[in-house]
Amino acid sequence: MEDLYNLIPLSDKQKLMTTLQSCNALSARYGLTLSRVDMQVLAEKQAETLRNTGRIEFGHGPYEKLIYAFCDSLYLTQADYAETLSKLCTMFYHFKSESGEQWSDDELIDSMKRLYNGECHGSPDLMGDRLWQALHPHPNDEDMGEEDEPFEEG
Amino acid sequence: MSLLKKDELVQTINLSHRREELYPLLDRQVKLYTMGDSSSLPTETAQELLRSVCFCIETHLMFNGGKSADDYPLAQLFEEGQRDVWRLTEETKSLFYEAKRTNPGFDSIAYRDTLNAIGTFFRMYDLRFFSHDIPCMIDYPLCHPVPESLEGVRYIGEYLRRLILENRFCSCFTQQDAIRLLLVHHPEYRELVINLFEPIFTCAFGVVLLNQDSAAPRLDDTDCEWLYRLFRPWDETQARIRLREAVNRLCIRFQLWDSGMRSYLMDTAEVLLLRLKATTREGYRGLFSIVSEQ
Repeated sequence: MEDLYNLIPLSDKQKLMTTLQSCNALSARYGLTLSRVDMQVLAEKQAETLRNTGRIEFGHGPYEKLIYAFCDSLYLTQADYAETLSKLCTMFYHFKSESGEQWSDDELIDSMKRLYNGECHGSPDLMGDRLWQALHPHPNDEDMGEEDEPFEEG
Repeated sequence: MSLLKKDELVQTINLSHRREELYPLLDRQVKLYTMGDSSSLPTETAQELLRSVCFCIETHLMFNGGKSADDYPLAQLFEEGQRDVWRLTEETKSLFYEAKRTNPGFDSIAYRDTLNAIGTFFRMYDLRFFSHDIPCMIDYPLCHPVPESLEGVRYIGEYLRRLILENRFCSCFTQQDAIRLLLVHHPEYRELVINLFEPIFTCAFGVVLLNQDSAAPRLDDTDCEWLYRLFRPWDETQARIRLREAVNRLCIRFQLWDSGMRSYLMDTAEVLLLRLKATTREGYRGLFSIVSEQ
């Protein structure tokens, strides 16, 4: 196991920081930026979540896609931007595993965005609950739909 | 347990110094496997993909005995290894048909299920991503099990090679004689997960030891007594000479000339030797599947 982790080049952590830096250009238009410390914390959070969820990342992780998807959200403010991104990253990896790889990265982020901006009104915790319910629908919950296509448009 | 440490390939190609080459290979496999849908994978899946890469490289090196991994880029070895695994799979399919063709037809459930399972192996086998995997259940035990260190199609190939040898030996006797012997060995042999070659070989071995007609593998109480006396008092040197002579006579009698078969029979006889030494007079009855005279 350790050897497999060692295979992942260390320089990728640096690349992640660079990616986050470049995302600032876009998010700044919405009044959202990450400081150098935020970036380091987020990079560490991603590494920690990967360890906790037993996953290996071969790209730069979900931050770039999350930032692009969430930066225009009405519920996101500079005060909780970094913390929310950290929570979203944790949930992303958690639900990738929990869904048994049924959801692609884009599908999952799209579902997260719709829930966050919609019925969850900017609450990551509530969004997590709704994702969980989508994966484990109650037999009487007719509204929940199929497991691999849990969220209808609108 | 660490995957890379477990794999003997580490010693062969010294992966610890070639991580920079191995990672791009794994990365490429991950992208192909997820078809770009996901940039991360569960560690177990990533490990399996890595093992598959190692398996392909190892297979290529095995096919090209003199080749040193250090002289070639890993990407090249992997690419050629994938082709070798494909070729090996095609060869193993031929072995599968051969095993089916030489099936002695003893109606063993485990034997039948195993052949069916190997049939599904070729449908399930994913040589692109999980070439080291064995996606089927092998129930029927061989007299000499395939080493656990073999993986993927190499395991199945070796299993079938051994099974064919056992089939060929069992087919030296009429089906009626062989089934009669197996029923003496165990009346419910069809339902049991036991090897069927071994009792047939042991009885045939006993028959040639007594210089009888080995075409009919059948021994009675008197034969059992003679066999016991033949090995008592125990003399290791004498026993080994008898063992070699008996195997030679079996090979000549049934025209089993190939070295693979001869060495398989010799290995079986070696194991039998230990049991002949340790078994009591009464135990010889079970060992040689003695037919009671009453």
